[in-house]
Amino acid sequence: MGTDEFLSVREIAILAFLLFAIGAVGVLTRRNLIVILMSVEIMLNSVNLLFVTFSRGFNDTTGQIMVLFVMAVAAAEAAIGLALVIALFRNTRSVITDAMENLKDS
Amino acid sequence: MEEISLRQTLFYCFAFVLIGSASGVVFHRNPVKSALFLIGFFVSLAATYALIGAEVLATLQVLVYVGAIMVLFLFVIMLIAVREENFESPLSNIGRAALVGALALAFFIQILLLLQIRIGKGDLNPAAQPVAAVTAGKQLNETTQVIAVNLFREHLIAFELISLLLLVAVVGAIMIAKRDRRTMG
Repeated sequence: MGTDEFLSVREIAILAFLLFAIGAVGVLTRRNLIVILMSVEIMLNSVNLLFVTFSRGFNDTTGQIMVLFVMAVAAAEAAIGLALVIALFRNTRSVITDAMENLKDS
Repeated sequence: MEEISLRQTLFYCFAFVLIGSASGVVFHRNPVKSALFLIGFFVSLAATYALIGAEVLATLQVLVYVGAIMVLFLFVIMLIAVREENFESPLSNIGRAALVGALALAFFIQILLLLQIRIGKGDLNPAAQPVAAVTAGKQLNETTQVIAVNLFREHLIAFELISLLLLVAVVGAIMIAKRDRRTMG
């Protein structure tokens, strides 16, 4: 299409892969539970970006509906995860994963 | 403007801001600043959605993520006493300042480009879009309608199940975070 060439799917897919890798690095290397949850949000959003890209690239709106569902599940996951963080903080007075070393009910 | 269109320039700016703010979330020591970087990430992602042509999702991204989820994160960060963890940041002070400066520069370029679109010199008006790249035969304002009809006609059961899942999540979050009087004493 020459100069009218729109963004190719490949460029946005590479961006989504990079964002997913950054989020995975955050999940694997950080110790703070809240930052780990935020990195999970980054990974979910990179997958959303890939869904939207393929939805536009292949001219099918099902991908955007999937993104709606992923957003709802991400909201539920954030609510449950943060409630768990609060409960853990109440028991161990810390949100660092190194401090959670026993499975006893305290 | 011959090889790289305005849209592509905007996309590269957004991609840079996305990668920079995601790195800020992961590599910053203070969780509050990580959360603020994450807000920038979500807003940039919403802008990318709008650039690709998914306006509904761009709006929902800002509403759901920035409006609901990030407020939840910041409330939890405020509820529990946040201490800076002993995390070895791979960036020095100069590198961090360079990152923030580059992000600010990219935002500035975006604002300039958006102003250029506002005064009508950009190529972002829907009439100038190549038909093969966007939804063929459907103009942009009909995408919402297509999504809505598709959602409520073919994915109705999943939609109702999602509402049930959200209800369960809300009740479960309250039950988990509630202070238990028997065990707390």
